[in-house]
Amino acid sequence: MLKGSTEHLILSLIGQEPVYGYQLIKEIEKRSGGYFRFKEGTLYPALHRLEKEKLIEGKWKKLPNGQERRYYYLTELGQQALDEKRAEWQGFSAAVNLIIEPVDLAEV
Amino acid sequence: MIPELRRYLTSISLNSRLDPLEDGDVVREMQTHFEDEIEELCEAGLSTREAVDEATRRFGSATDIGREIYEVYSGGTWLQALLAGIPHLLVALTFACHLWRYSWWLILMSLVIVGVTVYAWHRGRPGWFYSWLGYFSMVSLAVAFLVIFVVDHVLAPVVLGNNALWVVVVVYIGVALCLMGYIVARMVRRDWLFTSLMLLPFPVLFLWLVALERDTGLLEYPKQGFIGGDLEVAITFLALGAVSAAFIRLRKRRLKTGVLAAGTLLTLAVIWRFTENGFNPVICFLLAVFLTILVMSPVMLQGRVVRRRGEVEVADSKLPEKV
Repeated sequence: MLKGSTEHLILSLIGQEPVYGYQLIKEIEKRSGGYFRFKEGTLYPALHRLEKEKLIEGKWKKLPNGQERRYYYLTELGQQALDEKRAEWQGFSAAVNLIIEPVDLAEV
Repeated sequence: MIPELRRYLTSISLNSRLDPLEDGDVVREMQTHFEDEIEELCEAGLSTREAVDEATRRFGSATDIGREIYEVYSGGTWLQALLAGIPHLLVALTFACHLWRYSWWLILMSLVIVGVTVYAWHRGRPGWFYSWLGYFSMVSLAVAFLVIFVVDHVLAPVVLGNNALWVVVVVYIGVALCLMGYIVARMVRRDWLFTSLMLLPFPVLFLWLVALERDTGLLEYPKQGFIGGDLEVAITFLALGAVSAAFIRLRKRRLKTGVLAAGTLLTLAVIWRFTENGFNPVICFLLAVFLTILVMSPVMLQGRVVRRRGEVEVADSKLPEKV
């Protein structure tokens, strides 16, 4: 995975709804159709890095079955960072598409 | 809990070298991850042992993950770096402005050092606290000499008899050793690298005393001796301040260790350059290397001593028997 893209994906998913670590991994794998697979343990340092930067906040929450899980919530600062990353990504992917998509030279 | 999983989580915990409060949360969170993953793998038809093997394989290297967690929490802010440098800067100021001649300044500085150290101890012993702890130990030594002096010259002849001095010395050494043992034991749970940060000013002060004694007969004429080398002494403590600040800011453990070792060695080399009569270069080099090894000895010992003890501690206390 590209450097920095893990954190973008994490922020995007947490921005949609609060999730815990294992759920996050499964969600990334499911939504990418199995394309994004990484060593699961590397997710936790990334989560804690984002939490230390105050972009997300972790809170222990009890599930209906009595087990506890650490859910992550997006902070206001995290929302701003996500908006910036999203704009950056859209600009980047639009530019890449302009280059890699075939162009009808007759029109040029 | 299955022994393999316990060992795996213990390895992450030891490599992360976190404060017990933070560590408990990090390890517990990973344990919940394994609860989910193992349950899912067992439902898919794997035995518990196979599920644990597969789950730990998917999770990755415990050493790498522990190190990454360490790097997340080990880098301090600029404010924390400044706080780590302040005690060294205070000593540098003391020499640069010749303030060591005034008792009121020494008493005030000692009170500040004791106050800040006690405050930081109760606030969870952040990284910068260990810089202050080194000077706190020096203040304790100075108080010891003062107590011995008072007992020897004032109390002994009148109240305690002739053996009083020895009684005081033995009691003080006993109490001091217990206190230092307690402090080191508390630090061991976190990271012995902080013990090296604490020891940083000791070889510098020691070498300065030896160098100035050789140059100017410090013990006979203390005031002239120190004034002659005040600026140089201040510069070396300023350098220690910079080393401590860099130590707090850096994230990678290897870099922290490197900056401490190189900083100590360079500062000791600078002291040798500053001394007028100069030592025999070979002896000075060997002395500098010996003192640097002394400062770094906690780090070298940690791998051997703490790992075994830490395994028992983590295995016994932090991981409930759920998986």
